[in-house]
Order: sequence, then C-alpha cells, then structure tokens
Amino acid sequence: MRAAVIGAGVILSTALWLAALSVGAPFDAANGALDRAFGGLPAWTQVRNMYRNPETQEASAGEKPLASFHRLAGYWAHGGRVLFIGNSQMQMVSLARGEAPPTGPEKTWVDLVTDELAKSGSDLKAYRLSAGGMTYAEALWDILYLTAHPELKPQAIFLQMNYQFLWSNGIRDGMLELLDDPAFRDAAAREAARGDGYSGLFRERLQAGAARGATAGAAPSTEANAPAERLESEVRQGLSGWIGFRERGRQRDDFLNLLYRARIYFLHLKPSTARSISEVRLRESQTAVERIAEICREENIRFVLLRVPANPLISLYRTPEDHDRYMRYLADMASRFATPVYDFEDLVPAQEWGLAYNGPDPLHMGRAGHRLLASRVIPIVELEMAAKP
Amino acid sequence: MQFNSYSYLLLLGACAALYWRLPFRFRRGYVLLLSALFYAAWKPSYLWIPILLCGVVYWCGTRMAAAGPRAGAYLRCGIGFTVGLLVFFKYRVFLAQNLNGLLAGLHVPPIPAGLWIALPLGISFYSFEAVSYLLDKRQGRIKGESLADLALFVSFWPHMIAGPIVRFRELIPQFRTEKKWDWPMLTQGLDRLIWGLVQKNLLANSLAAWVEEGFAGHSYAANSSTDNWVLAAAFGLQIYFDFAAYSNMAIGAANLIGITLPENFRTPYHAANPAEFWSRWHMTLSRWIRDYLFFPLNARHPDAGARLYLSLIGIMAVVGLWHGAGWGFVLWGILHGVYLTVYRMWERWTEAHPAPWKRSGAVRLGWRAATLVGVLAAWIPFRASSLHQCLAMLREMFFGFHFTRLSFSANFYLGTGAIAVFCALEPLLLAAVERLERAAQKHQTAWVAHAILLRPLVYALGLLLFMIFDDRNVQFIYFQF
Repeated sequence: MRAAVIGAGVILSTALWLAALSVGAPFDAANGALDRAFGGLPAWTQVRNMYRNPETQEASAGEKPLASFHRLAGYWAHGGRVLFIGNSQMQMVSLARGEAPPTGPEKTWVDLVTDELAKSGSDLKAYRLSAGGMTYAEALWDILYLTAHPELKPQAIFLQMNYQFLWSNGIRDGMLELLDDPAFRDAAAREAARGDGYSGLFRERLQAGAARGATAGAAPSTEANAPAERLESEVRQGLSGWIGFRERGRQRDDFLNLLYRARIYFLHLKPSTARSISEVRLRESQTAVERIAEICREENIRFVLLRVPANPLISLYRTPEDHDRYMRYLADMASRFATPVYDFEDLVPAQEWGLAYNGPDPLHMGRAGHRLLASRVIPIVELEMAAKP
Repeated sequence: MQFNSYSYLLLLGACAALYWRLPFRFRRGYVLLLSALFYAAWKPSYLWIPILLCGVVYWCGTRMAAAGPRAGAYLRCGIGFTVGLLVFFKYRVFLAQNLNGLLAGLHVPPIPAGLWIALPLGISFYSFEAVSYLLDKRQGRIKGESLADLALFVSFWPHMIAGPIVRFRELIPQFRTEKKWDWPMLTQGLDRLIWGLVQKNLLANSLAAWVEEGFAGHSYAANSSTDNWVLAAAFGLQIYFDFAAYSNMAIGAANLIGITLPENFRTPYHAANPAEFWSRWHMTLSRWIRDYLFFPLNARHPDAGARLYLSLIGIMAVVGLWHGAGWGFVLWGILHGVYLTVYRMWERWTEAHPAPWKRSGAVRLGWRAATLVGVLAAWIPFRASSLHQCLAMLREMFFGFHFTRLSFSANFYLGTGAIAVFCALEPLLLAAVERLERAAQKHQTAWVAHAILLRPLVYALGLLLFMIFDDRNVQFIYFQF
C-alpha cells in the first residue's frame, strides 16, 4: 500500500511540475534574470511584434513558402511586380537607444516602401521575400519557382547584398515542398546539372526531396504509413489541445535565447564575430547570385543589387582582404551583367542602429534607420521600373 | 515505434501498469505479445522474420541437444541460417556492387542485386542474440527452455531494435522469478528513461544538424583542419548520446517491469587506452565479440603474437561491417583493430622490459590523449559518405594545418564545446547525484520527500526539454544498423 502511494505521488507530482513548467515560462524568467544581473537592455529593443501582411510578405519566413506564393498570384494579378529579396534585416527591427518602446506592429523598410508606393497611387506592387539567415542559393531556388509560373514572374528583383548574407549556405528543408511542382522540379534539376558552385547543393536537395516523397507521383514512404507513425500522428493531434504542447515552440525559443545570453554575458562572444568564408561556400553563394542575374536577363526581369546598410560600429569582414574581395565581386557583377548596384552601406549612422542584449546589433536597424533607407529606396524603385530590363 | 515518441511513452506507462496487475503466470505471454506488437508497429509484414528465425534456431537448438556427435552440424546449420538471413537483408546489395566492380574489370556482365528491400529493424542485434543462444546451448549453459522462452529472449521489446545485446541466461531467468512491485522500480525506470529522452532530444539531436551540414557531400572539401576535428568530436558526441540514450531508455523500460538489462556505456571518452575504450563503449557488443568470436578463435594460440594481432584486426573489421554495409565501417573497425594491436604490443613490451617511465603519469596521459584522438579520427570513416570524402577529411585533419579558418557559425563550435564539457564532467555529475541519493536515503522522511518532490521536478524538467526539442524526423542512429 505504501509503495503504491509513493508511486502515485511520484507520477502525480511529476505531472503537476510538468504542467507548471509547461504553462509557466521558466526559461523566459531565467532570461529576464540574466538581463537584470548583467545590465542587459530591455527585451523590447528586440521587437517581437512585427507588422504582418501575408499579401505583401512571404509569411512563413522561408519555412513553407508555397502557400505564400499561391496567395501572391492574386496580389500580382494587376500592376507592376516588384520583388525584394533579403534576410532578417528585411524583416526585423531592433530599436536604437532613445527610441520609444513599440506601441503597435513595427514595419521594416520594405514594408514602408510598399506602403509608400500604395499611398502615392503607384501601380507598383512590392513584395517582401525574406527569411532569417536566408542564403543566395535559397533566393535562386525561390526565383526559379517564380519564373516557372507566369502569374508569379516579377518585373524587377531588388536583391539585398551584404557580406553577412554570403556567410550562410544551404537550402532549408521547408523549401523542399516546392519540388512538388513538376515545372520547378525540372528547373531545379537543370540547375543541378549545370556544374556551377551551387549545383552540388541543388543535387543534394533534389535527393532529399525525393527521399521525403515530395516529388509528385512518388509513393509516400513506408515509414510514414507504418502503424506506429499513424498512431504517433493521432497522439500528437490529441496533445495539440494542451497549451503546454502547443507552446513548446516558444519555450524552445526561450531556452535557445537563454543559451545565447549565456554566450554573450559569460563568454563575451558577440554575434558579430566576423569570419572569412570558405572557398566552396563563397563560390556557392556568388554563383547563385550570378545565376539569378542570368535568369533575369533571359526572362527580361530588371535586376538590381542593393548594398544595404552596415553598422559602422561592427565590421563583418574578418580581414581587409575579405572586404576588398567583396568589393571586386560587386564591381565584377556590375560590369558583367550591367547590373545597377546601389550603395547604402554607410547610409545609417551608428546611433540609428538597434541594440541587442548589452551591445550594438550588427545587422538590424532601429526604427529611424528603416525609415531612412525606405526614403532612399522608393525613388530607386520608380527609376528602375521605368527603365528597360 | 520510436522510444522518444509520445505514443510509445504513453503506451509504455499503460502497459507497465497492466503488467503488474496481471497474475504472474500470464506475464511472460503478455510481454511476448507486447514485443510482437511493438515490432509489427514498424512494419507488420516483417514480423515473420524474427518468428522464422526463432523457429529455425529453436529447432537447431533442440536437435543439437539430442544429436550427440552430430551436434556440431546443427550448430553450423543454425548459425549459417542466421548469418545467411542477415547477409540477405543487409549485405546483398553491398556484395553485388563489389562483385560487379570486380566483374567489370574482367568484362563479365554484372549480376543483379535484386529488388530494394527495407532492412528489417534490429536484425543485426537479434541475429547476434540468436547466435549466442546456439553457442550457449552447445556449451550446455541453457537447458529446459521453450520456444516461447527463445522468442521472448530474441524479441523482448526494449532491447530488440538496438540492444543492449543480452544473453539468454541473464534475461529469461528474471521472467521465471516472481517479483512484487515496489516504487524504487518506478524511479529507477524513470531515471533512465527520462535521462535517455534528454540525451536524445537535447544533446544528440542538437548536434545532428551541424554534423549533417559539416559532412555535406558538396562542401566538405572546404572544411579546415579545425572544422574537421570539431566535426569528428561533434559526431562522436552525437553518436554517443544517441546510442547511450537508446540504451538508457531500453534499460529504463525494462526496469519498469522489474527486469534488469546489462549496461551498455560507461563514459567511454574517459578511457585510458584503446582496450579500456571497448570496455566502456557498446559494452554488450564487446562482450559478445570477446566471448563468441575472439576467445574461441584464439583459444588454441593465446600467445601467438602476429596471429593474435591479425585476428584482432580481422575481428574488428567484422565488427565494423556489422555496423553497416560499407567500406567506411570496415575501415573504422580496422582502425580500432590497429589501435588495440598497438596497445597490446606496448603492454607486452612493458611486461617484458619493465621500466618506471613506462608506468609514469605522462605516459598514461599520453595513452589517454592518443586514445581520444584515435577514436575521434576513426569516426570520420564511420560517418563520411564515401572513402574519398573520408580520406580528404582525414588528410586535412592530420596534414592540413589550417587551424585558424572557421567555416561554420560560432554556435557550432560553442555548442559542440559545451556538450563536450558536459561529457567530460559526466562522471562527476553522476557521482554527485549518487552522493545526494545516498544522503537522502539515510533519513526516511527526507527520502520520501526527495522521491515525491525533488525527483519529480527533475523528471518534469527532463520531460519539458524532451518536448521542446522534439523532432519527429530524427531517428536513432543505431536503428540503421
């Protein structure tokens, strides 16, 4: 009897603790405690309440773009189609010292450009295709999909250029869903066969797509049909009614933020840690940009490179050679493809850059920085759309 | 059914509770039924494989016991059938590909490898257990067992898919002894189960994405020496935590119904030499290899130098091949065979020519460091997708001397470093937990409070980490073996 009572106590107590930990936010509380202990900036400097508009933005942040692209066809049914492609700098605001806490959803410079074009009565319709840590191979992947569908083909592409963008490589798993489309699959297969720097990555992603049964007409995998998998899906469906289960993504973010804070506060390792890029990865990114330029030329799409602002307090280049090489690459792009390159690298002064944790944010601008950039980009959009491809 | 799935955990709790409610005489049948259902949940049409294996092996075993001088023939028949089944499912395509490579040189048309057939889950493990049953039976160590006993031994669900590799005489007698449920069985089981969930979801899976990126077929050539060393460490930690997690969950699940399975890992990266590594890593496989391969093969010539060393390298190559049908696995095994041989030679030399410096702390430290470096380097052929990739990465590690260039995000190096530090401190943490438990056990009230309050809090935290790092798409590495 005593054993049964203690056993029941262990189970019940575990369930209660788990419920308390799941519903509460222990890692968020720990983050707050660390910020207080180390004099971190208020959490609101990293704006979470960002402006969302599934009509003008790719809503999944790169994870599942297909639904956004279906919606885009409606938005672009009339008017001039302008596409902005970039990474988290296009979708995040990090407030600068002296900027007031947010009172509503914050807009990034692309959102402001979109608004301004609409307000001015222009028939240009800007669309933001951005994702945190986006890679140029992913940009090419998306452009292949858009150009394979006439109703999605843009008239102008403004591609964000900065050195940090070149660091990232790979194509995320969520984007493999585009392989369900036969026209895109054929286009991706052609790119994989080209032998360019990014082709190896495309080959690997095509294989991964085939393995997940994403290609049209492929039978679902045996494992997915197994009774165990079906049962697991049912159980997860049932658990999804419980808040602790639904909120586990947020708890995960809080936990990772806790580790991130530990990195900054204890090890003093800032996210700006500049590094050189290995040859293969650099080639993968650069050849993807070159291929985008080629596709734009073939498809009569106006292609523009925007050298976006960089925080003057933080250098993203590890060595002066890295910087020189990057500049040579941009000059080469401009001359080989007659691509306009607009340089805003020094546009935003240090005080208009955001703050992250206990120091300057290396990538994300404050509210005023976004406004300043938007004001400079709007005339360029009008100018470039008026020009012939 | 994955051990780290919600459905498994919920069913495990319900099934364990029902186990203790059943009269003792029904328990073995109940566990056998559960084991069959567990296996069928993955692929019902493959249930015939362990059933057929048990039938044939049992028949050979009983005939062997009655055959007198012809017992050896039944032993060979049983082992031949078991190995044949394993070769058919696991090595058919590999053998055909290599044979066709040779035939192509002779301008002979290739032989067909046959249709692609999914590898039956756990076949490498339950084949070894079937062989151990036959060999133990031949030695007269097993008597009076039924077909149901053999089926339970082979298919007992916690160990069927990926071990620990148990012996008939250490498992089945436990089912023959009636036990009464007590709450320490529950806490022992939950300790292992929840620690396994954390090891798998938080530690192993966190490393998986980085390892995947680092070994990617299109970009590994750009890795620097530092990148490759960190990658080798990351994969070494990933596979350790992945497999130790599975073993812990298997041991924990068995504990919940009062069954004790043998330990499989004992902080292997703390090994002082290559021989000790194999007494800490996948311990039940090492034991199997030692008792059923190494000793029988070398019994007649225990001191024959070169013969012993060749046999050691050959056996380790087979251990590598057992892990997977690929030359990378064989190379991994051969490397470990060479490490063991070198260490054995050193020991013999030290015994023949004793000198104080050979037992000094510096030499012992040297062996410890060399073992760690050797073990990490050997993970490269194990994980690389081709021999070409393996050689390129090893060349960069040992001869590249590019130590300042870092190709991946800072989180990769920091994350791997943090998990490596955790691994290094693991023995201290385990000792601290044991000390805490012993202190609490001295006072009855403190012990019950510890069991009902503190321990559940740790369980809940573990379950929370399991939930938030839950990724349905990452299965256990050893499932593929």
